[in-house]
Amino acid sequence: MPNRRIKWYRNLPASFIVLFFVCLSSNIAAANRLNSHEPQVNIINSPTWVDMQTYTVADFVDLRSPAHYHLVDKQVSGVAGKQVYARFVYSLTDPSGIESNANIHIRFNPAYEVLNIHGIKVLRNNKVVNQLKRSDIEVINAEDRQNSNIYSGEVEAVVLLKDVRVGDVIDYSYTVVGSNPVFADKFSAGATIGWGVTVDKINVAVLMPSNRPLQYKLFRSDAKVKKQTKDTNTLYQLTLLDTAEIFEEDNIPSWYTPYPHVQFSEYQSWQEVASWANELFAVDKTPSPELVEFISNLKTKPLNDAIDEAINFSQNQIRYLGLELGENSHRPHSPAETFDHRQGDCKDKSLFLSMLLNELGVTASPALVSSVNRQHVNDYLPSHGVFDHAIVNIQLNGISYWIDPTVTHQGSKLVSKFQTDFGSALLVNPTSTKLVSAQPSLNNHSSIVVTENIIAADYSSAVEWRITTKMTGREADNLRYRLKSEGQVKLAKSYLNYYAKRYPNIESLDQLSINDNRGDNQITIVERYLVVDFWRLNAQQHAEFELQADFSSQYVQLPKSIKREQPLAIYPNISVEHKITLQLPEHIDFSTEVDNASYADQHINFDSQISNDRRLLIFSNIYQAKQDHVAVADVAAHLSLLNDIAKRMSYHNSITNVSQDPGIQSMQNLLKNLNQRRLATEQNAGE
Amino acid sequence: MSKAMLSRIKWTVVAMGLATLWACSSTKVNNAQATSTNVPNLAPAKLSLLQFNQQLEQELNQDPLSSLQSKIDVLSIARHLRLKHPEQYANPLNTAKVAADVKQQLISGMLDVSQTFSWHYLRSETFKDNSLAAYYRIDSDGGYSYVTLWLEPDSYQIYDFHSVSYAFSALDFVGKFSQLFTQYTNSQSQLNNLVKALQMNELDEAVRIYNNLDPLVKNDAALHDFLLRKYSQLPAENAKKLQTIVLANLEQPGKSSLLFEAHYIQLDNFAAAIKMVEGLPLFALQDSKMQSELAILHAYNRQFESAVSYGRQAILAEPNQREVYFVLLQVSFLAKDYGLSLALMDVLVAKFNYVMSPQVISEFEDGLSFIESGEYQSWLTQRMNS
Repeated sequence: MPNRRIKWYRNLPASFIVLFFVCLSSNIAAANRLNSHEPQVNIINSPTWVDMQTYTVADFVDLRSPAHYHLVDKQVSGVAGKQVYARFVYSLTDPSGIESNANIHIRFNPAYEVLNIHGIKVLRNNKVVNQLKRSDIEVINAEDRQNSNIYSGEVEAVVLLKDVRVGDVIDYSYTVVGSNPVFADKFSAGATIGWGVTVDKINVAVLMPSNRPLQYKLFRSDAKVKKQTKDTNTLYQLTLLDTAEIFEEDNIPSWYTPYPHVQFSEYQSWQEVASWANELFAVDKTPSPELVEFISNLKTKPLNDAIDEAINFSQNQIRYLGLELGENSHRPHSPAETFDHRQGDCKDKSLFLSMLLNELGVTASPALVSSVNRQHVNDYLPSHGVFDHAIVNIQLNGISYWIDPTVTHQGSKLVSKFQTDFGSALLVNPTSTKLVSAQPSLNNHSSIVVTENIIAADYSSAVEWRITTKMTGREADNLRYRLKSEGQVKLAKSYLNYYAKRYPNIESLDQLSINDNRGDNQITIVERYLVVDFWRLNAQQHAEFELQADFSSQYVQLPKSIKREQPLAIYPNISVEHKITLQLPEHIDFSTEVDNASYADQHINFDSQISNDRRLLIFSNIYQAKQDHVAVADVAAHLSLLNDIAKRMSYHNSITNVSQDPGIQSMQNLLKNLNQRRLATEQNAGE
Repeated sequence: MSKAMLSRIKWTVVAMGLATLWACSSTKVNNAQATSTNVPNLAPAKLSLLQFNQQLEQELNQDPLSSLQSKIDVLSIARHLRLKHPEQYANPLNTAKVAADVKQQLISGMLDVSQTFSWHYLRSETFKDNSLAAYYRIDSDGGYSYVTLWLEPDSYQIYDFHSVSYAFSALDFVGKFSQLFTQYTNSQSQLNNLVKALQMNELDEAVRIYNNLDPLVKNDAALHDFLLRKYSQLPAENAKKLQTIVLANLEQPGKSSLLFEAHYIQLDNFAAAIKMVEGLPLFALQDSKMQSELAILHAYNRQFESAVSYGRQAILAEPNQREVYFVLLQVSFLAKDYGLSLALMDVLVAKFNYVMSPQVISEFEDGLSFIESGEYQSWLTQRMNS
């Protein structure tokens, strides 16, 4: 089964990976009322500029299963407008191959592109056994980002091949003609030249007028791009034979791709990209009467309050909605429109917020970033295609802030808002000439502190379990969002059910207590439970117990791919402290259990401690991420460290001779009586 | 009356305690005794924090002076004075002098405590800034209070002392109170006169000076802490003269002092008494004594559900202490919750080997009603037959 890269590659109208803004996105078409352009699909011959490629089909027994790719051919012409030609030839060698490869999907945007299909052939014993008709082609909406409120206007031409059999060769080709005018004829494109399956022949070619030279760069490949002059044009070409199958390991950093690829760009510098962006963002900034009033109102407040209100309004009162049809895939809507409609995508909200802050006399500008590549944007050639997101850079009191106006439910003050580390950014302002560091100098770290107090009155009755969780940074933002969107009751239920996996008879003693200090961006949740199944009496009449200080375990999981050739991602900028205090009815000497262990490498720190105090046994684990990934050379040692850490997530012990205490039965009865009353009080309060 | 009842309960416990056996046997290493034995006689640096505090507890209860001389470090006090109040204690000579004075005050204060109270170590806490607090309860027949000893993390040397009755620790108070005089220069003379009047026990004059102070100065937390400390040192009759101005501060939202719990109990103002207890820091509030205190106060305030809840918390906090069961037993009698009364008596008999005779029960308020109840009669009959 071809991996997702092949499938995606086949589906795009361009045969190259074109990195659009995520917030713009380019997936399934909007409903008709969103996109007024009628899709144009033609069945015509291949353009004459295309260099037809040959391929060979070996004997069936020598073919790979479930599909054998003979040829993947992508050719782009920038000579007379943009035309992107693609051709795929593959044999279906197994029924599972037919299932996944007998349907053809070709994506394009009818606002500025026309689809010319040259042929979709089914070859059997070297003979074409089908005839493509226009009626075979269905055009459907392709808005697969609508769950993220993004509508791009794209459509998919779909052909469901009939009578396809094992042994058939599928050979189809098409050209998507046209390009988004917002790119102002500046050429930028990329192509994958290695996939999760072997391909007999990959051909990539770009034909450009010679007076529009391209830069190109190869990633993870030793292939060479051949340049040759053809009349007044230049052809950039690379052909690869028998390309190796690429395995994508799990848990790789977002900025890392194992797939070899090539990037082409007409931009000679980041300054050129900045100029393009500046022109794009130069929309009409004339405010509407309502917006004028809003700004006037802001100006009456102390500056810091006004700044906070402007940001909070942009984040929480402007609905995130990407109507990215046509030029609006990259050109923002005017601030007045964003304000009046109370909706916008990342570039709309960034421009709107920047405008508001500028009106307050604050230096602020939109900034283009890549949520996938982060600081590795620097690795790519200058291009409009490397960015997928827009945020706002604010300069205030000597501090540079990086605020994302698409994030909701953040802390209420600029100085306490969590700032994502996007690594590098291109500012959209007249003085921007290069990428700048977008690493926040503050508030880019999140913390979780879990404090558990387990109080046991004896060694058999239910214990009272109090859990206090304090979150800051992104964790506080996420929890706040969850509280508001799910509601406290649902959250409490989910917590209870989570604990019930360990303690099936657990009961809640109190409603969740939530303290949201939005000014400092700290949320504290307090939970109280009665746990009947905490103690387990074993055959020797010892009361066994287990303490699990494992909140950080989600950050130290072993990946599926242990033997690795690709880096391992680490969730960055997080610290987690989990401390459990078990209070016993009497003092028990745990001094022989006292232990301090530290596990550290250059990527993470983990400190584990067992200590005791009067009537207390204390078990704590503190985890801290220091980097966002582990290099391949360090993976083996790091995974060995994770194995050691995993053993420190829980602590077991037992208390001896517990059933010999006099009054054990009467004590159990009394505690049961009191606990039932306590539970009844909680249930009445809930009603 | 409640205070008397509480004292009476405690007396009963103490008196009866002599006649009972401590029947909580186990093969666990230590029983739940307030004092610990078998603490290695090592220099403090080699002891664990628990061992240090167990040793200190023992010494404070037996021979505090020699212990305190070696465990309170002038250099440490001086260092923390400079850290807390850098502007006031920039001069090393002056700081050293103040630190020496503070040490003497700490020793004499703690000696005074040891004469009247017994020390009971609760637990320790390390904070994010690495500061280390050791929490103690001080017990007497008259009641309980709580103190925090601030210890150097490496050497466990004591450098500060904070009674829960006051807003500030000793070092904080020293710094903030002397800051008063530099902060409110226009009121310096009045403040000096106020201090003098209080030193001379001229309390009427002190009140007059206070009332004439600038409102900003009057509301200063350090000044109020000073007045509260002075108040607590005075004999009861004299203390009343300062009571109005001290109480006026404590009755504001967010303010309280355990010193005045008894005052409100005497007035039958149990809600206010509860407020005085609820203002305690968490380590003290969660202690069994204070949970029992809240239980009985809520009971007298006719809030029986809350009273039982606090009584339950007291048991959870210290299940091997007889007193917590006695307090909840008293609550159950007041609430006429005889099912609970019987469950508690079962524990007192089986776990603590108490003889719950009618004489003992009648000592409790509303105990007679319980004795005359059908539930008690059935319980008695059952026990006689078993």
